[in-house]
Amino acid sequence: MGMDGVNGDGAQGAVAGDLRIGVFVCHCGGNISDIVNVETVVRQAAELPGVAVSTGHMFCCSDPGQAAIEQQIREQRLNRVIVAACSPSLHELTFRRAVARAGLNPYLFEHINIREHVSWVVEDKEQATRKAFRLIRAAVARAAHLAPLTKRRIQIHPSVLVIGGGIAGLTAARDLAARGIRVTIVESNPFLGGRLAQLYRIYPTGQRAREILDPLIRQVAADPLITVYTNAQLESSTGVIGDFRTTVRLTPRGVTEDCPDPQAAIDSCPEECVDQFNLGLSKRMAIYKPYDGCYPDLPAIDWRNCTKCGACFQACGGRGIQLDDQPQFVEIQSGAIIIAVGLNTYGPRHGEYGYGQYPEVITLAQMNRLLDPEGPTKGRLLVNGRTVRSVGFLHCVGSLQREGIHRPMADGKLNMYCSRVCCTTTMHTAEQVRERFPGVHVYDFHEDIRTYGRRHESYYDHVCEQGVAFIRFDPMRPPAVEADPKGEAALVVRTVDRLTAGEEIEVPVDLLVLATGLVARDMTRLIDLYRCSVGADRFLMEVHPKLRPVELAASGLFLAGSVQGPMDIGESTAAAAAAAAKASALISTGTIEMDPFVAEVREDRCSGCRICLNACPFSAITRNEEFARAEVNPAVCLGCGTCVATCPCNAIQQYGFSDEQIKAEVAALLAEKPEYGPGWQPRIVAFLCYWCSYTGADNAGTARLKYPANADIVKVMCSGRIDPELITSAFSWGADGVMVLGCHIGDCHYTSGNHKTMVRMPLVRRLLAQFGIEPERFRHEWVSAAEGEKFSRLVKEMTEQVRALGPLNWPSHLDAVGVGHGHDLEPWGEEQTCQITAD
Amino acid sequence: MAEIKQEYDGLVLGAGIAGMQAALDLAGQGFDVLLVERAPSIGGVMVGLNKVFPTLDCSSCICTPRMAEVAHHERITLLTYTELKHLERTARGFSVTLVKKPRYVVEEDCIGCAKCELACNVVVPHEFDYGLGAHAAVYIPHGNAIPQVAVLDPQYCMFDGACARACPTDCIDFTQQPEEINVQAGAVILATGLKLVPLDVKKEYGGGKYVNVMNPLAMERLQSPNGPYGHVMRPSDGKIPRSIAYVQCAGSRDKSIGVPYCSRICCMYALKQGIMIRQHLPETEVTIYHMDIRAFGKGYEQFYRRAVGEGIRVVKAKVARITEEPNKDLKLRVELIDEGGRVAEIRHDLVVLSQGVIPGWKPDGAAPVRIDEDGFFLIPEMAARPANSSHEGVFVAGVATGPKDIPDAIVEAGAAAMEAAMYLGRSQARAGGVQ
Repeated sequence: MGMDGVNGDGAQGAVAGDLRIGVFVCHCGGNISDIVNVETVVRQAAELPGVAVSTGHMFCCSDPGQAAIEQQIREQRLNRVIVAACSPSLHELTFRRAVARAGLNPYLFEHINIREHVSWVVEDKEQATRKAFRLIRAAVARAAHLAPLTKRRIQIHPSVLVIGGGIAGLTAARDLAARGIRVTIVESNPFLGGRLAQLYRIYPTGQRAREILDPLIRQVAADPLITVYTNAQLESSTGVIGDFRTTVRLTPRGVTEDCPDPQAAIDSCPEECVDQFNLGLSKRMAIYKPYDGCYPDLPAIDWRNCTKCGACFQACGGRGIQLDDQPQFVEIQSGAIIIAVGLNTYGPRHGEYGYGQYPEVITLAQMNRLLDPEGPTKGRLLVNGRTVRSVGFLHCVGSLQREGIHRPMADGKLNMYCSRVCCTTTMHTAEQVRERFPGVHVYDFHEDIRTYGRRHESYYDHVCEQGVAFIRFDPMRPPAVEADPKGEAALVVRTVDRLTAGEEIEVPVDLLVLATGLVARDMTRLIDLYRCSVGADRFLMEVHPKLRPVELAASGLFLAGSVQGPMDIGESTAAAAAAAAKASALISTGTIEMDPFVAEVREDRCSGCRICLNACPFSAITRNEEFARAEVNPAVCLGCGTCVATCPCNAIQQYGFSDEQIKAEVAALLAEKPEYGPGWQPRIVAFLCYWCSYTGADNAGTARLKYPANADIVKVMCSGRIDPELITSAFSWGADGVMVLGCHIGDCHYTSGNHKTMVRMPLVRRLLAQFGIEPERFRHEWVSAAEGEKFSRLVKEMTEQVRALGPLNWPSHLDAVGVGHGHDLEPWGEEQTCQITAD
Repeated sequence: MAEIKQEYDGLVLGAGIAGMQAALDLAGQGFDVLLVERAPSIGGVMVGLNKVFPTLDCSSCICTPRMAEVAHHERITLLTYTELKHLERTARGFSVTLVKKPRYVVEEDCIGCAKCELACNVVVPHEFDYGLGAHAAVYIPHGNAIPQVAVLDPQYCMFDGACARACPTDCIDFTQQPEEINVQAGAVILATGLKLVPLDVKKEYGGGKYVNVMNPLAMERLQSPNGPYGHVMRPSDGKIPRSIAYVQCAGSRDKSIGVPYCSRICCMYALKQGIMIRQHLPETEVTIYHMDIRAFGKGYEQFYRRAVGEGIRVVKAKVARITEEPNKDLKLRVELIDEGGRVAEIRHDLVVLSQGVIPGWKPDGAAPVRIDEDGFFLIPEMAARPANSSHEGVFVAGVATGPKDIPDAIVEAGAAAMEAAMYLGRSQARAGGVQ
């Protein structure tokens, strides 16, 4: 895997020698300068150590403004740039680009928000000016610790592995190949096609499933960019995004292309066994093809049932039949992986609504096989050789399970979820029954009818018109099924009908179709190999169920189709194409660029304790067992910094958000001597996560919600980055109060960084109590991007709360409690070298 | 406004969540995309929502980073406040005529400071807040809008020049005219989104007549922390409602108004709004009158049960009529299905009509695509190629092909982008003489 260094290349020279910081303060056409006295701020900033240039500009973001910054960088040989203007969400990128144009590393730039966080929220001009200067002073202190960084570049192997050869996997493979990308499909069965091959007609088009499947398989099989492995099981996997290496085990097929007469081989087989393709409704031989036109169009031997008697071998004159082949192993390299292994149908327990007990009770999938003219009954509605006169459909078998009513699955969990496709499939199947067998009565037993999708409702409407009788049962009293005592029909279904005021009814039916739900496949192997996670419903879990539905938490892994949850065919093909789009984007770039704010382990300090391994939401940290050290994979790290705060040895640092940088910033915010007396203002440091809370504070600014000027914001990428030590340091340097604000639980940009915050902050509170710091001086809250009002309210409340307590003056107690030991208590001034600027 | 090139690989019409995702997924594959939005800001319906089901994520928290990604993407050009006038196939792809509506604000110069809005003396009902809040005649569309550029509504403007005097960059321009923009595009993705059936479509429910009969999207704004009031109140008197009813299928599954289909999202948003109401106002009763609860998606049934567990009453019933009491309370005449069809009259403080979803835009000859019976774009191969329209080279994403929740819209946007990328690859190969 190609991975360029994170550290500066060439730009490194710019850091050597003295600091030459340029400070540019934006007037924003009065938006800032009407409240903040820009002249004063510029003058004060000029006197800060290391500042070579300090100047104001009417609009820093304008072309002339940017040109002025670039000119100063060149003429004054600046090696750090600070722009104090609007929110970084608006123009941080603008200025980074300007800095880069002037030949300076773009990460030697600091963006200070003195509009949304100062001039728009502070009424008092003097206080606003002082706050603006404090923020600039902190940025100057932080700038001393900035290091040139480059975006991480990860090379991507130009091929994709698709796991699963059903409709989703095939669609994804076809689409990727159409974009010129090499694809390998691995399918665990001997034949492609998955569950779609077993369906007869599909909604909402009513077309035969194989009208979709067969041309797709032909296209995939003929595409020179696609390699197909059938009978292939996942064995092991290594690597990360850009360079996955997956080893698959190829079970021998037993039959090769050399076989002169495959049909003779099948006909000669004496071992009859259950035909899985027809869902147990018929038998087949141990050497078999599931249906005519399958792919590959070559029989396979079912090794569980084959006795190796040699009959097929003899029938083919010994050619093309290999009974003693050993499994082979192949390693497949790929830049990305699409998981499309699909799902299973729920298998009713013996006796569940008479299933297994009466042959007249079958599943919806079996009913589909019965309706297929190429199926076990050649499309006739026969059960046990008897013609069916009435059919009942019973919804939600294995879905919408309830405690006390249904028996849990093997893992002790109930299938609480809705299987999504069964209602419409049932309506569609009932429609076909009424159309093809007009004399057959159809009854529908349901709890709710969920025909949610496009054209679905029209099936429901149509079967109502066709005279299907609907009976709404009470889920707490599900129907009972038994043999019809009167012998009029095969079975009788007893239930209460809520549509007729809870009337108890008995419905005789010849055939009862259980609309069985869909269940996840066994994911153990995928979890082992790719560290995927599954939900309570046992389906694979996408990284964000709302916004990133086809991506897994680990970069470069995508999911397509019903491996994620029940889906119909159209939804599966859409998901497959969406996953292909993601993989295609990844491959077509060749390399991907990622923000350089990754974590790195300082080997000399790491004790190998493994604590950080669990802190990482993305499994980016592994332990090098040979050296007993943690290692961060920079290709996987997304830069939340949660591990940094977790490490007990201070052995992990985050580029762009190192302890030194954050501490220098906090110390400089608090560097002024507090003015005690009647006008005393408590000094509050607020640590805000960038994605939600910082944006929430911006939101307070755009809404012009005023709040006290004494809470200074320190930005981190995730609240999980906040080390308790940062909080105690802030107190020790003179803060009277500290706030930690992060995304609400569930909103975390890094999926679970804030979960760590949630666990850590109560401990901080206890720690502070030990130090004798009143609990009211510390506050931890969740503030979303929309909660500007909440942010301003929190600052107001906090200010009043701390004001009531009075100054903390904690530094004087420090020696007594032993805090700050080993930390740099000299707030700032003395230049430090940033330890993570590796060479 | 970024510079508009003559030619783009892809044109995406509509910058709601589906259009943004389609643009990102197409641009991510190396294609230049022109993303056109009719409203003054991108973000569509999603950016105005309070929370999303079933995760209860804050909608703007997860939507705004995606908006920023679109705005900063080097291969995406954003054109807001612009409508499609005409689209037709040519030898080289599609010839597209767009009309950029006048903002009366010079987009490049506006810094989004809202000084104009503060200086303006006119108060106009805010469309983003469904009329519950207000803005000035010149205004930034909303706090999370992208671009953060003001727009002036000449219908309400007094032309007293207050805004122009307040503007620090002198960017108010009363002389702007609609501007016609002609571009070539290799492929087109329609992500034109949704609207709700009119509030008054079912006269017997009194929507539009009774002030306390509400639109569900307006309820989202009331619940939003950045909404007009920051809490739920009755429009008639500002009181905290103590009993709220949701009438499901108010304009769905109803042949009489031409919307026979299920709108797919209403059950879930009613449950979600109910949960949020009960979290903030635990003493307020929420009743959902429904035909079926269609909690079909991933985690939806669990969400439904959670809602019931949190005290939301879910009643299978048909609502025949709503009448207003003198104190603006509402009386619902309902047939309680599970009680054998007993008819009852039930009083509520506030009623939300779960209005059906209809297409947000109709081509009316502007684009050569066919419309299906349900009014949404016709998809000839719904199972095999769900993002392909009736016209070669035109793809469809999101609610434009039928009601859809956010993840389904995002998935379909990815599919549309993939289809467009394959189509562009084929046509570029043809143009390059490569087989």
